[in-house]
Amino acid sequence: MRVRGFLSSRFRPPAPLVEALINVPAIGERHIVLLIDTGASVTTLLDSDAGRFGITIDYAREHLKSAPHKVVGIGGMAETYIIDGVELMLTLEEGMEVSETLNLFVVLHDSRTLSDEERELILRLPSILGRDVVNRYCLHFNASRGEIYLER
Amino acid sequence: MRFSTSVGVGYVAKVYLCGLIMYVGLCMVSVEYLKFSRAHRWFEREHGKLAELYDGEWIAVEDEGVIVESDKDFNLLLKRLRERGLDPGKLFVGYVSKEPLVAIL
Repeated sequence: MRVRGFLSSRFRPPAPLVEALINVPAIGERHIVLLIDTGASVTTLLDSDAGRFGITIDYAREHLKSAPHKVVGIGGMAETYIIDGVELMLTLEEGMEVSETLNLFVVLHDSRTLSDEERELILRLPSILGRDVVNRYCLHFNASRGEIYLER
Repeated sequence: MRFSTSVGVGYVAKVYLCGLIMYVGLCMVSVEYLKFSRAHRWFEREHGKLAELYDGEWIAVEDEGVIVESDKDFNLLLKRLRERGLDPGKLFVGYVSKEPLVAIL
């Protein structure tokens, strides 16, 4: 079975993306576009998608569990949380969905401590599909032919 | 007797198929999700044209070609969507820029 991704020219150079439906406990089902990132250890929700889902930094401080270990790699001062038992549904070429269960990392920046330029750039960063999910598949990526898919 | 047997076989086959689908974790996608997917693909395809109209703005897209809100301020955009009873978590929300994003993640 195969999950098809997209090459987005909104990034330089173009970046591989995949659409998913995500079911977050206490939040519900939401829709998301993820950057396929083999350099990232874990699947991570970043600021703009967290905002779309109603997860503000104040909500996270009150309701979410802090991540058990520090996450490095994303610039600026960030707070990291984890949501267990998240269900990520990827769409197969045949139109069906395949479900993956994972512990979702949520990395949030306190916008009150950022300049306007920093805030804009951070909000533009896409959420990430990390190796915790990518490694469950064979990743086929040929940018010159516009071919991106996860297969198993 | 023969008729009822064939119905029984059909029913068993359906139950077996449903069980198989649930076992492998598959289910059909919703119409809502299909709209999100169409909105995203349209956004990617038309991004060059959108950049002429919405450069530096966030836009919320409900379906292919259906922009429901736009604003330079992301949080204001979300606020307005919620005031209209729309769930930003189910819409495609993207930043439009003539400048592609260069990022190290």
